[in-house]
Amino acid sequence: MELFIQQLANGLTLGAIYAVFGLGFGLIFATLGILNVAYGAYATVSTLVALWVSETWGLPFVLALLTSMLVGALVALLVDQIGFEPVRRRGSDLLPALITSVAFWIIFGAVARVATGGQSKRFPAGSVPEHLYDFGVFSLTWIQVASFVVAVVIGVSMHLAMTKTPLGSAMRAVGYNRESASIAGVNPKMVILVTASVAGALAGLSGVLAGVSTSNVSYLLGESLLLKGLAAVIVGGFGDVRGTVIGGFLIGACEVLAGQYIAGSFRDAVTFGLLIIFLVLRPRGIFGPRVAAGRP
Amino acid sequence: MPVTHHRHMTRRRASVLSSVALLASGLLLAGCGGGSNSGGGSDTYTLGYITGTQGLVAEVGKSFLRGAQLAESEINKDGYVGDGAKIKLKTAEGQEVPAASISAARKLLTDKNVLGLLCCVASPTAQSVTPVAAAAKAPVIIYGATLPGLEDPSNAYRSSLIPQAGNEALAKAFIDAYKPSSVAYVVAADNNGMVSQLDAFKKPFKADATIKDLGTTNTQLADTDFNGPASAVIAKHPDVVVLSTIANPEAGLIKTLRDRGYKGQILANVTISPASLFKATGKSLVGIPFPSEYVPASENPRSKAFTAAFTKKFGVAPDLYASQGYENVYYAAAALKAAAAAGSVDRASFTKALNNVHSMDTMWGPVNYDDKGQAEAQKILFATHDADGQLVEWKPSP
Repeated sequence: MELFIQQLANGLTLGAIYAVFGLGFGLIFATLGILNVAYGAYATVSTLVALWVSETWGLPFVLALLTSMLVGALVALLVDQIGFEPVRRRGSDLLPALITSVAFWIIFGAVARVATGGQSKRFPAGSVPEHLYDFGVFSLTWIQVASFVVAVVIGVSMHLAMTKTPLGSAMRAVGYNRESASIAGVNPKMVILVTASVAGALAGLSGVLAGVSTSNVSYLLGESLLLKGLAAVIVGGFGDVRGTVIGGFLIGACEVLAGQYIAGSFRDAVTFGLLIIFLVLRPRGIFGPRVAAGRP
Repeated sequence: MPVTHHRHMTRRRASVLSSVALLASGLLLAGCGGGSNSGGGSDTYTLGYITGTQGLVAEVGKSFLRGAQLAESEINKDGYVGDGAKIKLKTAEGQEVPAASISAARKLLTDKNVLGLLCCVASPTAQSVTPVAAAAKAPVIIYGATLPGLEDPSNAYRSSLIPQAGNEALAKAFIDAYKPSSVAYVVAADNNGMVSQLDAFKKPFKADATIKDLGTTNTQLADTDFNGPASAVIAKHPDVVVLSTIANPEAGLIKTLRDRGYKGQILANVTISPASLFKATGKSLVGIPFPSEYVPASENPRSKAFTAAFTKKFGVAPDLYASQGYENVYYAAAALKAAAAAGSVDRASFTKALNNVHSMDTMWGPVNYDDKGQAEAQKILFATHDADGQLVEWKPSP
């Protein structure tokens, strides 16, 4: 039983990273209407920059983390304005934006590959706290605790922001129908910029958490996050913050428990099996609306 | 009309010029190709080298390549393959992915001047490349893959010592010194080379009835999160954990085990030896033994010279993989030298010459080659990283 609890805790903390990633990914889809497959590359690029500043200037971990979030926000803003805004202006919908995001995914992937020489890297030894917290029946490393706390705090904050603040209302309104939102007095341009930058910052945050948690920063970092983050969003329900966080936890727990009790090679099979079950039996996810949000 | 006529003339002139240029290029290339491997004193013998400097085993692949490049420059400087003759390593990146490595092999072997291939860190990659080379009637010298039997095809050779014998010897030395009461294993179950290496580790443990086998935890080479496997291992409370995975995942697993509070002994395979891996992973690797026929502190004169030259050329101390990359190129060069002495050098004569290399004096000591082309060591060393990240000889101290 102790082992089960320990592995469940490991799974939830791993899922916390998927949840943070999924929150940004889901935010872009729900508000901007873009299935942005380049989003994983935002995490890769911003984490690599954070690693570089950490190695070059010996920045404390918190500053490296903030750097990653800042770079993530900037990258997301640039990609949105350079790549997605022209598509948006033409009134195009999902497919052109998806193709645009594929292009950015490939470009950022190539840049990251060249920057790393195709090799895995790590944050410098000693730059990240390595304390082990003993909770009686289970123990967690510092980064596991940090990931869990970050996911819960950001999840709650974002849920409150989306449901209780004018900005959240504006974001949901733009996500539902940009023109109607504009008629109602919302500035869609501002909402788009805020959404892109918040989502980019979340990519940077999740990238660093994943890089530190796994002691592995490579050009492929964002790709594994992308699949798991997408699964978290689908399981939780597109556009619902609570669902994405719970979906992330669920995916992480399934992955680790499958590795422990079925077989290591079945980890991803079980995870994506869960995804298929949701797509077939409950396509709107845990908290998703009964009718998918329409777009103009 | 004059304009049309002018165009016709221009096209015809362009066509003639193109033909002449093509012909000249062809003659030039034919001249180069014909002369390069004919056994004359100014020949250049080209070997295709499939690198694995990207991806999961990049650290290891880079070490192999640097060792090979050092051997190439020394061989050419010293005239090892004949007066004025040189060797040339023509590289193509395979990322240790079978599909990419097959493409790299085909690309290299399309050049008829490429006499044979040096290839591969991972066993599945070596298995994929060998038939491609066989189809082109070219030999393959496997420089890193560890699965027994890879040298079985008639065109495959392996002048590196495979680590299975070292793993078994390390496990035996450890058991004799520390008398552990239990052991747990972790393996990259999707890599047959690693599974084979674990089997070698297991033999001495299985032979000792007093040691309880707590089972094997399976991981995948592409795994990056090791909290699950590490927790599973720690929950078994083993006296010793034996790891058989590759480079980055192995170092990540060790770090996670230590971060999660595992204080027991860990035995690893040689893939944790690169200095760059120590730099990235830090103190978790200190004191963890692994078998290694080379350590920089070795007193073997050839080894000392290699260590000094490598450090001077690349600014870092070499590791076992660098020594293997180096000795593999010398092995190929010895065969090229013999083939050149016997007449012309082509893929067939190079293969024949490789079959006749039965022993070499290497930095690991004298090495014999069996009739399948597999190197056999006469002495096995154990190594570990010290606190400064230097590779030092490990001796069990009960």
